[in-house]
Amino acid sequence: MSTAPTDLAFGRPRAAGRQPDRLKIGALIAGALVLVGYPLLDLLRSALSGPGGPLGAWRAIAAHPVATALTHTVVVSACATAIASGLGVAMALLVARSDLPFRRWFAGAWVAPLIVPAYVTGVAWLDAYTSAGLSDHVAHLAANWLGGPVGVVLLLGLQGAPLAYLLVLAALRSAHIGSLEEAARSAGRSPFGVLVDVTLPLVKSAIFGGILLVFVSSASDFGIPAVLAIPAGFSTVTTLIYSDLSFAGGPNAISSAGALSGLLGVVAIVLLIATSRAARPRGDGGATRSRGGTARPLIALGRLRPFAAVGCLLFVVVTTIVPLAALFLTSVSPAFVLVISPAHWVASAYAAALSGENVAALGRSALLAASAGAVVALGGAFVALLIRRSSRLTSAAAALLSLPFALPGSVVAIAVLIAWQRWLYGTLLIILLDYVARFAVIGVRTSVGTLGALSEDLIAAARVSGASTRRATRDVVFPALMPGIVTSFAITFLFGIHELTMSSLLAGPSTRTFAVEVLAAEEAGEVALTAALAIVVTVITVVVAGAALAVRSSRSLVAADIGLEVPA
Amino acid sequence: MTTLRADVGTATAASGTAPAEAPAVELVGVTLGYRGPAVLEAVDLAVEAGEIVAIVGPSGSGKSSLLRSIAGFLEPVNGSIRVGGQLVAEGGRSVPPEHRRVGFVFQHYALWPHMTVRENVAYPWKTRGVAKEERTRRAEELLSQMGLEGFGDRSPTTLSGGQQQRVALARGLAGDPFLLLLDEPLSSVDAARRDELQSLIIDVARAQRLTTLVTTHDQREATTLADRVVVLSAGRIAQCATPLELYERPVNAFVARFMGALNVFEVRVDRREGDRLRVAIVNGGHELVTRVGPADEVTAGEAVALIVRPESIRLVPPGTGDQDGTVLRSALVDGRTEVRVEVGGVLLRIFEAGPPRRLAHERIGLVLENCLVLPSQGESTAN
Repeated sequence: MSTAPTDLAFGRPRAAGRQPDRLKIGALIAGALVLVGYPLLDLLRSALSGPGGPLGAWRAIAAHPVATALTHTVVVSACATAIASGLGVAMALLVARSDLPFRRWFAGAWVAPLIVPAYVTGVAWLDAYTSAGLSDHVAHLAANWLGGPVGVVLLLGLQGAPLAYLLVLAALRSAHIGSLEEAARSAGRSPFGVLVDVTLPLVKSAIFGGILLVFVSSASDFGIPAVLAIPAGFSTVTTLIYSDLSFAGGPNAISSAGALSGLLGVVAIVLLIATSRAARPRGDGGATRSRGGTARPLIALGRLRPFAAVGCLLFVVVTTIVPLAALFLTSVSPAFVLVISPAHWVASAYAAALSGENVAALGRSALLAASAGAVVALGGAFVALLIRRSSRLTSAAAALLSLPFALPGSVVAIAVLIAWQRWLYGTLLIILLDYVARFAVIGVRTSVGTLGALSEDLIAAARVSGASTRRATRDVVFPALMPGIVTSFAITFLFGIHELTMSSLLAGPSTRTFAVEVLAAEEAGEVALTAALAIVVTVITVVVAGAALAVRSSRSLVAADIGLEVPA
Repeated sequence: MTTLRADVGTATAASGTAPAEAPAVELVGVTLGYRGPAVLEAVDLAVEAGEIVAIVGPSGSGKSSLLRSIAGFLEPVNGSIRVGGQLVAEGGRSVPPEHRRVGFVFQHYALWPHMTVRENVAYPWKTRGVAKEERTRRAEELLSQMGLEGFGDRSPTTLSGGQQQRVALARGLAGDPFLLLLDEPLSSVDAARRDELQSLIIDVARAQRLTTLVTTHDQREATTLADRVVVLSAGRIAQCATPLELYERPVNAFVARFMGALNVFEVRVDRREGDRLRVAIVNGGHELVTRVGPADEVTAGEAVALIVRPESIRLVPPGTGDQDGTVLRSALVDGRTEVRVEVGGVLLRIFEAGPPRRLAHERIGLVLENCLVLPSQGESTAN
């Protein structure tokens, strides 16, 4: 079939139906401009016309602290990326191409850290491995270097590894690579030779895409440097933006933060364009699960199998289980003393975590996350329906909506702040606006994907069965969209409930979110309270993620994760 | 684009303006396609009530588009379409699909995955306001007619391809359609289930005297199913005739090839002696002596297409026929023997009754009876 009949398959919009369509499309474009275009333009304007004239703002960048922070960010991100891509490729090869015992379990265990907020990971590692932490308590081992650049690199690397792992795994699982490897083995190549000659070259673009993705998400991460680097006096671009705004104040601060985030944004956009270029030829993507464990694995571990399994288990224990356990123990221990025996556990930290301002903050976070989720999910479905009757303008508006998700959170927050602070500063609405702007793409992409996969014939079948356009949409299209709406609500809610970067910049004195309370408790040195708050936010996250998994299969959620990129 | 408003079945009955003998479907000069080359070009077609018509053609010939424009998914830029005497499309005006009372069966079933099998089948009645109890009863009736009792509560995604297509057929019949359109209904069904489903379609259409149009790329399926076959080529009707006419008198070499002719040659007429016609193969220059009927008028030097029927070739001892050839191989196919013989550089495929008895490399005499002379296709001299 050529393209022309497909375009016509739903009948051309009838004259009577045109006017409202145009209105809706106009509303969509206006919405996209208000949400995204205006703040970004305003950001640019304020960066260029700061108090010292157009050059003033940029002079602020050249000033010493900024240059240092920028260097730090680049170096830290590069090192973290090296760790993450090495780990990610190794993990993907082990899961998809080896006979590692329990590899299906590891396949899941290695992505689990993705749902733990970055700042919680930071707090958990401090509780686990620094002095007075779990390892110190048990074995008198303390890695105090964690609170500094090395710790930031390590944790950003561990956090980026699942991203690289998922990209490479998806590429490895595409069916055609499997058969190409089999062809090379039949041609007499050794397993290692096949790996070098066939496998790695074919997943090269996925690896490269992973590298860029991890670099961008490391450079734009705020949670980990906020917890590990700020106390050590080590600044990165995101922490500098935060401290500029929180501690300096005044109009100068905003414009220098604006200039800084403009810079970060430009870097991110350049890298993301490179990513999309690199990741484009990713094979046919026809992922077949059966390829995961072929009868004859490419990497036969042989006698090393038990050792490899123990090694992998140890990795999961050290990087995920021990920190979370330490976090929990810290939350139930009396101040400054870590106790392991349940007999001496106290609940005072939880009492504090679930009372007063903290409960109010939790309520605000939940309200924000739920409202953002609803707007994003329903709005996304609406946008997707409009795009189906595609015009270039609507697709352009949709592309504009996806930009903020690619940008670092700090950049989006500063843009929204500059644009709306005159009217909305200190209200929940400005945070909601920011969340919706940043997460809109989740709803749009999910629904557009669903509709793209929906066969035109299903709609045509409803039409010949006597349904009008409107009725066919209600009876056939909407039910198909429903699971996607639920999923995008859940994902947006997840991001919203543990979002720190943006709310730390936008929250006013009476609109602090739960994540901001965690950071505040951490900065105040309230170890047990911080741990308790972190546990609470993690439990909520896990419960919501579990519910979302129950609604949709794990596979599509993971697929959504890959598709969505940079959850920084 | 204005909309013609009329429900096909009801309007015809009420107004009574349609002539009594009006065709069930009538296309006049239907042209389709906005950009690039036309998908359909000036198609004229009339289908009588109760007739089963198969539309065949290579992929891209426009058969699916023809069906879709009758259903109302595509709107012709030119020409008119009448269903039951009622105008449904003319020069850019068109009755939307939901008002055409057409049953449509899609190649890939197109069953709604979020509805049960019963809800799928009952839907055409639901949109027309039939009460729930009534439409459920009638859906169940259709399902049992399709041999799908007890499947009503299942999700269509749990059924096999053949079962899904039965459900789709049931849905196509629901809502009391005036016309049943089937778009490649058998091509995504297992070969083993194809015959059953084919009989089911014929039985249903005959029993209800339902006017039925079915597209297929399989000429065997077309001749088995249909009263008449429409052969499409590049958006135009090459021939529209009964299966027998298509076999006996294809209008050109394209139609002959498409309907399964095995030995088709572009030749130049040398001379005629009684029923014997001596021709030269255009690519290669080898000569063949063929026998044609008296009706076939040819002049020496004329370029024509020649069809040699595999079942009309007589094999005789060497030297006693019109020409000699060499047996390449013979094999049992569908209960008869197919012999491949090389004659002066040309491969001839021959059907003989009984088991294979010719040996490879054996010399053999041939008489090519009942050959058919058709207008040359000119450009397509391949094969």
